[in-house]
Amino acid sequence: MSDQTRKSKADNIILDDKEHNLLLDHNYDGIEEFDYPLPAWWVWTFVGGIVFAVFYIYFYNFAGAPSLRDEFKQEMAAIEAVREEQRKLTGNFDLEDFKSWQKGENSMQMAAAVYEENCLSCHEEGGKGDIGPNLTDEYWLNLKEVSPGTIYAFIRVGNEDNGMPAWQDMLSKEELYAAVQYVLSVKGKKLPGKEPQGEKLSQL
Amino acid sequence: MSTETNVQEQGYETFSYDDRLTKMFVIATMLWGVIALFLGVWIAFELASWKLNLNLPWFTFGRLRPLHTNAAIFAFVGNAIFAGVYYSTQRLLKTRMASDILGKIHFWGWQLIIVGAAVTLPLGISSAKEYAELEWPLDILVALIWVTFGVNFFLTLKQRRERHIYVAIWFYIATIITVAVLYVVNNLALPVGFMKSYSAFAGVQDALVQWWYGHNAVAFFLTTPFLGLMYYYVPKAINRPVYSYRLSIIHFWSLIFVYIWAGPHHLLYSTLPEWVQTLGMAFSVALWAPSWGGMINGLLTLRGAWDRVRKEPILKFLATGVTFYGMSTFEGPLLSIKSVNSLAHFTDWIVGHVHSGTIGWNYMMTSGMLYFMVPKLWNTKLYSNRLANIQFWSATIGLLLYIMSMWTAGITQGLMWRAIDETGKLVYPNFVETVVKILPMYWVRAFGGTLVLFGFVVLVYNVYKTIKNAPKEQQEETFKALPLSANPIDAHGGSHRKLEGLPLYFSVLAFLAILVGSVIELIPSLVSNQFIVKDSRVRPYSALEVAGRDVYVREGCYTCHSQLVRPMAAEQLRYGRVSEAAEYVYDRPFQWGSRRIGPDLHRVGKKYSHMWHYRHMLNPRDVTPGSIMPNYPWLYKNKVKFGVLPKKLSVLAALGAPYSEEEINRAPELAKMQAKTIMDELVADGVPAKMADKEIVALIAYLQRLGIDMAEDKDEVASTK
Repeated sequence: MSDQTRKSKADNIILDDKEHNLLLDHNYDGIEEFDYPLPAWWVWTFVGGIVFAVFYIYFYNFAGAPSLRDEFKQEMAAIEAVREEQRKLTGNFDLEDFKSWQKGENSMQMAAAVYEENCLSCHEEGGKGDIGPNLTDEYWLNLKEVSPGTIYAFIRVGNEDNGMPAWQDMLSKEELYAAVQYVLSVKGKKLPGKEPQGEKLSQL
Repeated sequence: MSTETNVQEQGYETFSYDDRLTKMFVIATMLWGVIALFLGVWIAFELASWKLNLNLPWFTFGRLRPLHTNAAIFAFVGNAIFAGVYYSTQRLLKTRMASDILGKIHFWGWQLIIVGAAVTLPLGISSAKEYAELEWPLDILVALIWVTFGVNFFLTLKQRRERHIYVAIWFYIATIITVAVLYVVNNLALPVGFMKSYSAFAGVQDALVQWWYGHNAVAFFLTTPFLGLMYYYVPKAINRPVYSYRLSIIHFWSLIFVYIWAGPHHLLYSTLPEWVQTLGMAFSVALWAPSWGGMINGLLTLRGAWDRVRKEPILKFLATGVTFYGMSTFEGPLLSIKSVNSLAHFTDWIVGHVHSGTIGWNYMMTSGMLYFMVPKLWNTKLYSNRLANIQFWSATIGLLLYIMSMWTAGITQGLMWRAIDETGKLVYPNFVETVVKILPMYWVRAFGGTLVLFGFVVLVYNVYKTIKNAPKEQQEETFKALPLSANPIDAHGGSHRKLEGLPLYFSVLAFLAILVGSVIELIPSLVSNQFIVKDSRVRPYSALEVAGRDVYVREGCYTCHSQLVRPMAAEQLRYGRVSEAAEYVYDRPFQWGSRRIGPDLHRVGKKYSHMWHYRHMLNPRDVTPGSIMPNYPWLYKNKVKFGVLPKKLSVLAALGAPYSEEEINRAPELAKMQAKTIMDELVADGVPAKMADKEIVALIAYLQRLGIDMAEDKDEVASTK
C-alpha cells in the first residue's frame, strides 16, 4: 500500500492528452480525480436556481405579491357568489314543481340513490334510524308540522347541533327533492329500529 | 531511486483495518433490510385490504407504519451507512478506526435501539412526530450512540495517515454533525412517565421544527452519507477517476448549505408564517442543481465504461441508484413549487416520491455496495452473478410499479378532492369515493413492493452462500503507509485543497453552513409571538380531551388523517373553515399529518353525533360504506387511566398551558364528569352505561373538541355580538 503512483492505474482506459492534463495528483485508496470543468448546462441550472430564488423571495416577501391567504379569499369569494345564486334557486320550495318532479319516471330511483349515498350512514336502511332518528315512525325531532315543504326546508339547512348537515351546499335542487321523496315514501312504515324521538305529529 | 525508496521505507507504519465491525454492520443491514421491507409490504396490503389489520392493536396500519419508516431509515439504511462508512473511511484515511471498543458500542447500541423501536412502536409508545416517533429514553440512547460514532470517527480523522480528506469524508462529516443537531433539537420534550412525553414545541412551532428535522433526515441521513458512499464505491467499482474535483467542491458546499433551508416545503399552505414557506420553496428549487451535481459526477465517472455497467451487477445497481437519485431530486423541487404542491400534498404522489428515493437510491446503492464489499471482506468471490441480476430486475420492475401506481393514485385523488362544479359544489363530496377510486393502485403498489422485497431476499441468500463458500481461515491483511507528519499539505493546491488538510476547520465550516439556514428559518418563529398569533377563544384541552388525544397519538391516527384545512376553496367546502395558527398553540405534538388516506379532521368537532363516532371506531363501514379504516375494538375495552391525568396536565402546564391548580388536582374527577355528559347522549342511543370509563369516550371527547374554538370566522363572531 503506497502512494507512489502518479499515473492513472485505471484498467483498460487510455487517457488522451487532455485527460492527462485533467488528472489531478490525488490518490485515495486508489481513487483518482479528474478536474473536468463544470458542464455549462449545469452551471446555468445552478445560477438559474439562485436567480429564481432571489426574485421569488423578493417578489413574495417584499414586492407586495398576494399571499396564499389573499389568493384563497379571492377564490372563495367567487365560489361564494355562485353558491349564493344556488341557494336562491333551492331556497323557494314550490309544491307544484315538486309534484311534477315526483311524476317523472326516475323519481323513485333517484330518491333511493340519493338516500343511499348521503343519508344511509346515519338513518340506516329503510330509514329505521341509528345515529339519526327513525324516519318511519310518527315522531319528529326537528319539525313542527309534516309536509313536503317543511321536510324540504329542514333537509336544506339541517341542524348542526344534532349532527344534521345543511344539504343545500352539497345537493342540487333535484337531489333535495329526491331526499324528500324518500322520506315521504318510508314515512309511517314504523320499522323497528331507533326509538321514537321528538313529538308525535300528524301529517297535514 | 532505490536508495530513496529504502530511506522512506524506514518511516513506514504497519496497520490493519477493523473489518470485523464492517462485517457486523453488513449482516445487520441484511437482517433489518428484510424486516423493514417486509413491514412495508405488509402495510401496503393493509391499505389494499383493511381486514389485514386483523383487529389487533399492534397490527394496525397506524402503529406499523411508524415501525416501517423507522426500520427502513434507521435500521436498514442506517446499518448500511455504518457498514459503508467504516469500510471506506479506514481505507480513505489509511488507518484503523480509532477505537474497536467504541465501534462495538456503536454497533450493539444501535441494534438495541432498533429492538427498542420494534417493541415500543407496535405497543403504541410513540411521540407521533414522523420519523422521530421513538419516545424519550430511546431518543437519548440514539443521541448517545450517534455521538459515540462521531467521537470514533473524529478520533480516526485525527490519527489518519492521508493528509487531505477525500470528498466522501466531507459528506460523512456533514452527516455526523447535522444529524446530531437535528435529532436533539427535534426530540426536545418533557417526560410524563417512563415512556410518555410532550413535545417542547407546540403547534406551528412544533411543525416547523419537525419538518426542518424530517426533511433534513432525508437530506443528511438518506442523501449526504450515500453521496459519500457513491464517491467511494462508484470509482472503486469501475476503477476510473472521479469526473470532476471542482464539481465535488461546489456541489458539496452548495448542497449542505441549501438543503437545510428546504424543510418548510412540507408545510406549504399551512399556517406556518408565509415568509418561511416562501423561503422553503425558493431554496428547494435552488437545490435542484446542487443535487444534480452529485448525480452527474457519479454518472460521468462511469463514462467510457458503459459496456461494463451493462454486465456487472455491482455497477448496474450503483448506476441505477445514481439515476434514481437524479430523478427524485428533480421531482422534489417540482413538488415544492406551491401550485404543484397544492395538488400533490397529502396524496400518494408524495409517497411515491419518497420511495423513488429510498428504494431507487438507498436500496439500489446499498445492494451495489454490499455486492462490492462482501467478497472483499470475506476474501472470496460472489456466489452468483445471475442471482444478483435477478434481484436487480425484480427490484427495478417492482420500484417502477410502485412509483407509477402512486403517481396515478396521487394525481387522481388530488384532482378529485379539488373538483368543484359550476354550481359551486364539490363533485366528490364523499371522501370515501376518492379512496375507493384508487384502491386498485394500492394493489399494484403492494405487488411492486413485494418484488422489491423478493429481490432483497435473493440478495441475502446470495450473500449467505458467498460467505459460506469463503475460506474458513481469514487472515487480517496488513498495510503500510507513512505517518501523517510525512505528508505535508499540498503546497500547489488552492485554498480548498488546504482546507482538506485541516479536517477540524473543515468540520467547523460545514457546521456553520448548516447553521445559517436553521437559525434564520427557525429562531424567529420560535422566540417571537409576532409570527404565531394567539387568540383568547382557544382554550387548552380538558383532562378527558388530553386523555383522548393521547389515544389518538398512540394509535398513529396522524398516519392517515391530517388536521390542517389548507387555504383553498375545495378544502373549505369539504372540511370547514380554513385553519389558523392560533388554534394549535396547545397541540403537543402537532398532528397535521402528511397523508390523507382518510379525511382531514381539524374541523371534525361537532360535525357528527357522539353515536356516529362510537359506531365508526367499532366498525367504520357501518357509517361509511367502503371505508378502509381498521376497526378499533380495544378502545371499547381499555379503561382511561384517570390517575395519571393530574401529572399529564401539570407537565402541559409547565410547558405553558394555562391550567388552574384546581383543574390539575381535580383532573380525574372533571374528566369523569365530562365522560358522563357524553355517556348520557350515548346511553340515550342505546350504549350501555358501563362504557363511561373506556378509551372510546375520551377519544370522542377529543374529536368533538377539534377545531371548534375558532370554527366561526372572527368577523362573523364580532358582528353577531
